[in-house]
Amino acid sequence: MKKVLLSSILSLAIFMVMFILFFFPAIEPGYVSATNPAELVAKQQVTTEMSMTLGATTVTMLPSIPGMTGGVGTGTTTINVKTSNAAGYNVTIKNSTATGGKMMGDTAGGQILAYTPASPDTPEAWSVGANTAEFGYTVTAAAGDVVTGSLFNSKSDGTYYLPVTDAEKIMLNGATSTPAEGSVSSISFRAEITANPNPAIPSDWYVATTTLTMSTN
Amino acid sequence: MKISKTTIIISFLGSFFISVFFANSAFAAYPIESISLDPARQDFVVGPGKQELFLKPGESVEVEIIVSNRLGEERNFVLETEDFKGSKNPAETVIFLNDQKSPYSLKDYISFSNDKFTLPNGTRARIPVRIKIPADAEPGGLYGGLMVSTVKVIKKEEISGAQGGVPINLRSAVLFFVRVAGETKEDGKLVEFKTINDKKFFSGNEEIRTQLVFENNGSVHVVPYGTISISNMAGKEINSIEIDPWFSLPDSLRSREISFNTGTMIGRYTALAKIYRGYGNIKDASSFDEILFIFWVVPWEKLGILAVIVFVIIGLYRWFIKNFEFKRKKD
Repeated sequence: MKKVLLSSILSLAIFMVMFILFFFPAIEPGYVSATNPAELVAKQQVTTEMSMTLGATTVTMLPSIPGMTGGVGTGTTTINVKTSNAAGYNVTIKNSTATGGKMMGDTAGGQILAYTPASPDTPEAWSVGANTAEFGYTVTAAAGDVVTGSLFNSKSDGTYYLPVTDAEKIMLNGATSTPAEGSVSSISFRAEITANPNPAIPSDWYVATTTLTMSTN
Repeated sequence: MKISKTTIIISFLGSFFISVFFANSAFAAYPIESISLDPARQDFVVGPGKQELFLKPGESVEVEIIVSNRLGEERNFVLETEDFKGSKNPAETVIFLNDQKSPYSLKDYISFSNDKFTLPNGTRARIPVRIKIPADAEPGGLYGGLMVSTVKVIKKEEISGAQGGVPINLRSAVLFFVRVAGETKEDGKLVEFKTINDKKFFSGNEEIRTQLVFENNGSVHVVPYGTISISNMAGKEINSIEIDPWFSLPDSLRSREISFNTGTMIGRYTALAKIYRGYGNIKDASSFDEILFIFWVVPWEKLGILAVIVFVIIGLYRWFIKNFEFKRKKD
């Protein structure tokens, strides 16, 4: 008897919820736009502007890496993007000196190779093989700054890496204008030398000049 | 006192050569004006983001770009031109071509008086830029960017082991879209409108991310725009979202992401994107593309709480009826 009572109450409750679900459309507020033909309209064009600033224009990676026993060096800077363009912006990244994404030794001729993901243009968790040295970057951004079109869409928590290529790649892509204080993301560079690299990595200052280009969508 | 002809000629030539020298100095200034500074904002600002021009072959026009220095110190700026093109990958808005020329190359037709200039902090320069289209240019689109950059010199430190540094150049690109008059092929179409990841079910107060993909197979850029209309099961329009114009380059696919919140929605909804292709008669329905998709908003948490409340109320009512009775008072 109790079972029947409980099941009938449950059925009635479910019925009422479903009734609300299907009855709600009839009472849901509609969208209304109105125009007053008697209005006098004044028009002023405002053009878009854009700006991009970095926390540091040169990212020094630390710590220094012992050239034979290996190690990891990292460096991070913030990127503050501002634009009044309603369709948003994008920021591309490329290697300024067309070295194929490598870090080049300043005087001794050594190279730290470009990071090689399993699939080109697909960010992945950092992983470097034995006896080598590689350099790459990652992005940490809010969801709104890496919408569809950014390589880091759904992978922008700073743990997925790509090489800096000679071709421009979209690193950030915002779909709307930014807040007045800007939209702040960060870019982190990472270099790793594994033990006994071959070819050897001579003691030197290694540099990879990078260009970030901002344009409006 | 009589001034000799020789003196006059020498003075004239001297003034001429001096003025030419200073006009061509590496960091000769454009006209600048002061701007207000906010210590919280340290950047350089470039505008407008893009310029759309309609020119005839042989015609030239002068436009203005504005560069503002709010970096906290005097800076040298560099201007360069670079072509750009669209991409068949909808994820790529534009592709800058560095030293290469595109099939719709504009960079050689963009000129300005100085490619390097200095701006003190708290000032902006209004830079005249001339675009001159050759007399033999074919009708269609030409696309190029004016890149504004500033670079800081890095300092090296003592070397110990292998140490790395990444100098970063910043550039802002002003995009120029030129349509050369004449018969052109305008051929664009909205080819996709859906939610990101094809998601169909959403909960209450959740953001719905949608994606529109516009395909351009013409020889000139187009600027589509339109609306997304949300209607419920009863056919009532409950929201309308305006989509501002966005550009689509020739031979490309261009995606645009539009988001809106489910708010207080409950039930089955239809999202209809109605996009004007950017050409043709705007009053003609054939100039528009329409794509719709259906989605559901089921605020499980709210409906679950409602079901429990209803369950408890009905249970209490049934228990009350079972255990109590109403009797009329006797006179």
